[in-house]
Amino acid sequence: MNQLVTIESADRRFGWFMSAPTLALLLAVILFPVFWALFTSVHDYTLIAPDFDTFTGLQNYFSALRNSEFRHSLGLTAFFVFVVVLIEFVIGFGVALMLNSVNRFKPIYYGILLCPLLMNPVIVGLIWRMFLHPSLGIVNYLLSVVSIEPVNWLGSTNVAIWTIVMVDIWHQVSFMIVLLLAGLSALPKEPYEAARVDGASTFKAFRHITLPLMWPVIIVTLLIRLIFAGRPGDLDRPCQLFHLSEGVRQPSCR
Amino acid sequence: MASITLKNINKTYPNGVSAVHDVSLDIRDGEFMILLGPSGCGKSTTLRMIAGLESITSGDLLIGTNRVNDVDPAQRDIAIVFQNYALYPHMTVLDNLSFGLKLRGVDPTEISRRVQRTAEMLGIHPLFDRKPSQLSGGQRQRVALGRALVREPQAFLLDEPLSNLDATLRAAMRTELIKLHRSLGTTIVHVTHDQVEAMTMGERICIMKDGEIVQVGEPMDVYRNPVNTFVAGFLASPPMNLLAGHLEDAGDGAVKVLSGNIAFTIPSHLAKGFSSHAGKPVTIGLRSEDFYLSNGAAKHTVPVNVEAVTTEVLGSEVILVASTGGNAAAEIQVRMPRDFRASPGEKVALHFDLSQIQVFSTTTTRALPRI
Ligand SMILES: Nc1ncnc2c1ncn2[C@@H]1O[C@H](COP(=O)(O)OP(=O)(O)O)[C@@H](O)[C@H]1O
Ligand SMILES: [Mg+2]
Repeated sequence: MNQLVTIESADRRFGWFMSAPTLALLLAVILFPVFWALFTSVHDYTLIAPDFDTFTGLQNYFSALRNSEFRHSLGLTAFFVFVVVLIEFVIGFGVALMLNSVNRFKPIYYGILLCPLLMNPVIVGLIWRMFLHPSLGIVNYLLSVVSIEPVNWLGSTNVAIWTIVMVDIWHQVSFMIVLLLAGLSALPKEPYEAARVDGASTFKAFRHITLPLMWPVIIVTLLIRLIFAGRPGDLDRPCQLFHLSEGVRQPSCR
Repeated sequence: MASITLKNINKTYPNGVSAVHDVSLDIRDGEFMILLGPSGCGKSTTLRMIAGLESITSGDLLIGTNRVNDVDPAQRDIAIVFQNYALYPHMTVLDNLSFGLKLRGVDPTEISRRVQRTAEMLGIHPLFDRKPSQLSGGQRQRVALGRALVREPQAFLLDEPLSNLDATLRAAMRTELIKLHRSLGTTIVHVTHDQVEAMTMGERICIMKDGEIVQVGEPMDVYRNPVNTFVAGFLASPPMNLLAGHLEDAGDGAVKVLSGNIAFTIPSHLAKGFSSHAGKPVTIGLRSEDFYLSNGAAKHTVPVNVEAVTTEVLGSEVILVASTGGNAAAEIQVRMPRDFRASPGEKVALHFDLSQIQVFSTTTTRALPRI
């Protein structure tokens, strides 16, 4: 008994020891900047006078919220995150369910799916900017072939946000697919057979077995996507947005 | 309730494995049928084809008088208990039991009545709020059984449901299942690789090997008259002693059996069927319980002298492992009374009940008819 306790605590010490470098790194690059940012946000801190002389409390927050352009951007970001994650989830889950029943050439499908994820966001932005160019882009050309009026994908205030939603889905949906597919393929097969004999249709089996068993995976996937899609100061999106909307010079989706 | 008929059923898996060949079996309405065979012989495949979880490559499957080859499992009105139970891991015991009935749109009061009754019968009503992961193996097994019972189907298919239980629980559940069958009268197909289960539970046993049916019959019939050496060696523990030997004509229809040091004559009235095989190599089958220490115990005994190798004291009896000696020495296992003892190397004079002898052709492994 005593020996077991000793082994257990030795195990634990070894565990801490092994994770220490990673923990230290995480502390340095995540926790520290977060607290730094919070600390700065309650002071009158400018690049001309980078010091913490004047404590301003929540003053900075109030002035930001009073700014209507900031509120607009905040609303757009929230809208963007909600719509993108929702659509990506629906598409991702659908594709994952379909792929889960495929047995042949699975690695090939995985490979194709992962391509957009591997692409640098800047490149994604540039590619799509070319695709969506109002007069030279292939998208408007294809539309003209079937006699649809050209669309000002990035210039129009109404369309731009949806264009960016679409590009983000194109870029990120495989992330959802891969995560959900991993979850689906880890589900036990036996309950489905039991359900078939019990009289469950495909839909009922999905509703009563797949969904409840997938909840933990679904929640984690959604959380990760929400964090990445809505993270302020994300390297990914502003770059992409910048490259998409550069040259348009309209504040439609800033 | 319904009969289940298999007509020349074959199953080849997509990867080319031929798991079941030309299986024909008539399971009567209300019968307790055992599918018995070593692991990998196609028992589960057969059961899963009856349930509709596996497609039938060729042949006909009838439930009652309807051909059901292409009928959805849900419409076959059959319940299956899986070897690994296959409970719904996210549902409580109560939900596991009632799910099938809910899917079929059974009235809620009827559901709770059936679930209550079944749960009380199986003693699982105190576990209603637990998830399968919080149950012991025996409890899971009873929940899996309960899930099948509440459905009140036409037939139950049980795939080695007792194999994960400890010996005591297994013995108790065997009795429970027999009682259950008696009170419900529903057709049951029970798959097992355990010959004790097969002998004690089944009304009939179907013995399978390498995807084929070897023998079908009532337990005692199969036990007493195995069709070949495989069945003879598979049923019973210790298994039948199989000795290589040959037959010689002893005149007047009697035959002489020779195997190592063992030699005896079978009188003509017991050996009608054997005499045609005289001069050929045979396998002699001697059941362990047909040996006696005194020659007056049975009608036609012959002396068999052996040398003790070891004894296994089981409490209610003693298993004597002995060598037959001679140039074709073989080991045999013999059941002895509980107070029998022998030290290794000791000579033991046994008497075998000749009327129980089995003789198999060595070339075909099939039993020679006695008459
Ligand atoms: N899904 C499958 N695909 C291919 N071969 C299988 C499959 N299931 C079982 N088999 C093969 O079929 C044979 C019979 O298997 P099974 O019916 O499970 O045997 P048992 O239940 O008697 O142990 C085995 O050789 C097994 O390897
Ligand atoms: Mg099996």
